[in-house]
Amino acid sequence: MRKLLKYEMRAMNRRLFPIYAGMLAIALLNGFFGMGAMIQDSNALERMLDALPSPLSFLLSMMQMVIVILFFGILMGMMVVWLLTTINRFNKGLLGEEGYLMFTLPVTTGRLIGSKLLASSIHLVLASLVALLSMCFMAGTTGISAFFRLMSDADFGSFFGELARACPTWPIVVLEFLVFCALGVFGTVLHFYLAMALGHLSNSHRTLMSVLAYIGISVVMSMLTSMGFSGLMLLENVGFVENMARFVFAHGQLAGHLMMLALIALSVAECAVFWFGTRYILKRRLNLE
Amino acid sequence: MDNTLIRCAGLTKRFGAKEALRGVDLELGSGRIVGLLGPNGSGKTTLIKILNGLLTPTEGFVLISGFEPGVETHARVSYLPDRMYFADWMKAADLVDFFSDFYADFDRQKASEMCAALHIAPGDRIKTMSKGTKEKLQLVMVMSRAAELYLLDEPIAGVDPAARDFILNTILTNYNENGTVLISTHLISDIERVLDEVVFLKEGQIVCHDTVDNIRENAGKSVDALFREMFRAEGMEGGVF
Repeated sequence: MRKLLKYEMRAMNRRLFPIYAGMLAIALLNGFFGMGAMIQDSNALERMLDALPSPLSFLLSMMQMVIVILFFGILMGMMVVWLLTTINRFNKGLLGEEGYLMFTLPVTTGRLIGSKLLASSIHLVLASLVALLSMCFMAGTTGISAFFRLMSDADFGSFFGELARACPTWPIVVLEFLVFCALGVFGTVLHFYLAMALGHLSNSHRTLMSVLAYIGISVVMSMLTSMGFSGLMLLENVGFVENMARFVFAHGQLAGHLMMLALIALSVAECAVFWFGTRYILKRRLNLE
Repeated sequence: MDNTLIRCAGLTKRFGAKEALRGVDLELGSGRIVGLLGPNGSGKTTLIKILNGLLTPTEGFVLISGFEPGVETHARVSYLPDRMYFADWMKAADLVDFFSDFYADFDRQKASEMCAALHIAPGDRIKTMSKGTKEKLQLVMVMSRAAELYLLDEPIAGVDPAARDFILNTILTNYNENGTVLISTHLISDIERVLDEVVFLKEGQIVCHDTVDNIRENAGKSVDALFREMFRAEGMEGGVF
């Protein structure tokens, strides 16, 4: 598994690292051209622009705008590239010609899927970190120093004290939230995997069938959700909502945890269905072109 | 346990309405060099892909050393597909690392020596290699394993006669002698001299499975001649309809 992950990470790094580098470079440029100053004190920038001869100041403000647009373009682009890379690594890497190599390795199908899922998830975290770092760069030196001033002024001791008083189990809440996020990422990626695996079952038009499968799964998921909600509504007749409300008021924190755990359980169920569906198809119904 | 390495029974594969294999029963033993012969579209690649678990049979089953295609068989089988299956951004050295990471029976030394003989430097990118070099590199990787079964799909189809000799020699000098080599091809005259046994596939069915010695003795002709006879007759039948 470690070896598979190593190769999968390398394949993904190749595609995504240049994008990260580009992102950071543009963010740095952006910071350099005074975005930070603008954020902190828009008057300062205007004064600076006014002081310059007008064609030059116009050029400078144009350039700034272009860079801001470029930045958000790249931010969007980064997410799109991550998604495309994730899809591509599965579609080409397992269902395409590279699949001839991967499926004849003495490793289980679960590990093949798992290594791709993990590599993709790791890269989503990396991409998010790069985006965060870019925001810092974009804020420029003034922005960063402002951030640190804010951090040093903040009274963390009393903040956490307050937090602990209001919600003594807050670390568990954070943990629950992180687990929920991770499952959300897995679910998103596995949704794509299952759609591609289903599309692969078709003898022709596999791409089209994958897209249809993706939409189909989405429809089923939203139908299940609305069915779940209407189920809850039906329970109202037997005083479910009233009892629920009473319970929440009486045990606020416990109710919160229970809700998070219920959400986590639902996500686990979703991931499990996607995972086992994908694995079954790749193991028992594999037909590489 | 008996000496049977490959056992197929009632193997059928349909792609939609098209039948690529029709009830193939086949048993092959260890320590043989077997030719899987037949014209294009006779089901050779389909059979090899099923043996590798890349295709799921519609009916019937296949066992290799008693296992269904899966982790156990992949560790025993060395497979040369009829296409490039490496990511082209990799270097030759990456490929050697990859194979030695995953296959316990991979001989790193042997692979490096063969690469050197082919003037492939470890740092060469696969992308920059010619088609012929890529194919040879792929063969080097596959033959550097001490496998129980080598499944070679059209190893000599796309190359010039000089390269054919190189490929055949590479196969003959490097295969694990206790193992079996199954070579699929329609270029029979080139490989006839190395074969112990032949399997003729025609329209998804086995029409002849015998040793080369028996064919020469009984039919009084070479495998190539028998092959031409068999498949020319088919063409004439086609003409009648």
